[in-house]
Amino acid sequence: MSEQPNIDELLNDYLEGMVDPARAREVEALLAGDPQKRQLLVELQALRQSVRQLPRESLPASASQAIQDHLAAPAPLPLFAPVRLLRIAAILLLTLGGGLLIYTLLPHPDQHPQALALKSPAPSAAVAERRVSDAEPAPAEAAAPAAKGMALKEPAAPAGAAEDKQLTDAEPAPAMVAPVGKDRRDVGFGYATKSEKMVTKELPAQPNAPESSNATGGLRQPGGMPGMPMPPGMAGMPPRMAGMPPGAAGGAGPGAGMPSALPTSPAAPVAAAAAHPAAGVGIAADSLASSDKDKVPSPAQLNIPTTNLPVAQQQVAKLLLAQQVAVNTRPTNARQAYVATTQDSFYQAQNQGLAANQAPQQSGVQILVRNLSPSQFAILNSQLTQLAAPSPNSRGEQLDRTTQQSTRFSAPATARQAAANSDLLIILEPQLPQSATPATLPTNR
Amino acid sequence: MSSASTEPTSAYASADRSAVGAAGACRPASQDAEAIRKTLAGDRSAFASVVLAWQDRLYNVLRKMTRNEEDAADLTQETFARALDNLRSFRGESSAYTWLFRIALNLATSQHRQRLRRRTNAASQLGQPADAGDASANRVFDARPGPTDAPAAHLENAERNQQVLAALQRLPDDQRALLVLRDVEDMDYQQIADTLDVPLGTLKSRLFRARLALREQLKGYFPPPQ
Repeated sequence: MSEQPNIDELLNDYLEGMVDPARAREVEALLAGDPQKRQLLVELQALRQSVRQLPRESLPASASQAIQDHLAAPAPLPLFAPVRLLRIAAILLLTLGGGLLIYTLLPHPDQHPQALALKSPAPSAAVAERRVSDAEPAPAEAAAPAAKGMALKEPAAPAGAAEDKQLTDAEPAPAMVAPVGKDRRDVGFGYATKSEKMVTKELPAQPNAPESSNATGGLRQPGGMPGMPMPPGMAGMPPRMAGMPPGAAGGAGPGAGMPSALPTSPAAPVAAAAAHPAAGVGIAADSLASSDKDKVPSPAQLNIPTTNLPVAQQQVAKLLLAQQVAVNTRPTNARQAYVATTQDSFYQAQNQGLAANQAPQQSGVQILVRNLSPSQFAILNSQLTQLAAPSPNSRGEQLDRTTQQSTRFSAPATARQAAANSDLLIILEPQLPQSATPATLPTNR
Repeated sequence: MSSASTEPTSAYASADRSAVGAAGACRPASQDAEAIRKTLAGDRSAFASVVLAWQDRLYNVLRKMTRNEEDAADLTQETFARALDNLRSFRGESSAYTWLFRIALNLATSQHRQRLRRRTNAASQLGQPADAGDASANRVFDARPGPTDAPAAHLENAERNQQVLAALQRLPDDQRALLVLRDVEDMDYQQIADTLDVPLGTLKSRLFRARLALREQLKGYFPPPQ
């Protein structure tokens, strides 16, 4: 068997004519003595000849042209060519940079106060802050004049009347003079700009009045909404909250018992009230971004029967809480939102868990947000504080300068004024110890 | 033992060969090297000379390997495309000629294996043997002449070529490639060894066994031993 490869190679060489003459004679001698080998060699010679005589074929012209076209096409860059690597790197950098930019620009949960500050225009309503519970340290209470609200509440001087009118035309101001009770019944718990416009146009030019008189807006009666009789037993109701100074709730007149400092501690319970007499919840309507305004259902959209106003108020207040405060600041654990109205007994009857006489007399709506976590409380408090703080660039203050009413509002005065005229009272209550009694709403103002 | 470079002395050495491959065979290797250098420098048109020099011979070999015109044309194009894409991997240790044929035969072998695998899978699903669909191969053996027929008469006509081609197709890939490169392309042993990447020392015995295998496929065409 070991000879076999040599014989095979020898026969193959002889078959292909690749042996020298001496080796050829050697093979021919071998084949002469082995007929089978000779026959095999004959067959293999015929086979080889048949294979060699197979017709040769040329590449079709179409295929040849395709190859030439391929060569004429611009050369694709190899995967790891420097230019391609640079392109890939540039794409990656742009993608990462874009992603980082988007990530940076997108709001984050811990950036909500800032985002809200950007979204919120100049304060549009006076805000009062009140202490809710005597178990907590007495908070500072402060408020700022709402730009539009103050412009209306403090009647413009004749010289500034035109500017005032211009302002109100540009941005509808909260209505103060409409027959509130009727207006509310007509438009539901209306905070729509429609009602504001309507009332604003009816606003007569008011003579200058001292700031103290503006606590009632010159349009409201202490202890009640203008043009609306106080419900029996509501006037002169004593304060319900222990430790609260008389008038701290804002109903006792300007400056009565109002702390002079803005709240700084998030742990302190804070009540922020925004005045919007006619609409009652104008703080939301005014401070919402335009896109958010679109989301706020108008009274017409709500289609609330006037006989259901208290329910509507609750619904609207909760909507406001959700949209203006809760949604923006994401206090997902805001457990409760109580709505208290004091305009008449019709409203009082629908208070949730609150006796009618517990509701503030002048406040159209009170929202009590309970059980806020410290972070939620801080966020909400920050937002409301910003809304309450006087903005040096607010149009309201510019208007005040023009009318020489007051270029600088002190926070307590503003708070008093806001408290006296507020229709929306938002009370923030942090998480209380289990033994603590939930705060009750102030009743006497 | 004679070497691969031994000059042929037998009658087969002077067999009449077609002149189709003469252009490529006469092309100096330096021309290919220069064309490749220019191509690598960015002048893709320089590669056209390489294509023109070898496209017909490549196609002819692939035609014998695949026995299908379209497949052979596609594989020829693919061969040049692969060569162009991998031109930087050509180190010049062998000639561009053998490099191109190596690419072509690898592509043909891959395609043949893929089709065999596909056919086997399809046949297994149908419960038929894998080569049941090879109509051309069956046709060859159906036309196989009886032992009393003169083989020379068949070998002289076109049917003989079809039968030889069919028999080639039934050989294993490596044996078919050996026979095609040696007898069709007329490569010398060294070129075959370079192209198929097989040791030169075993090439002759492999080639002889490939011839025996082809003879076995065409057994009826040859006269019985006397």
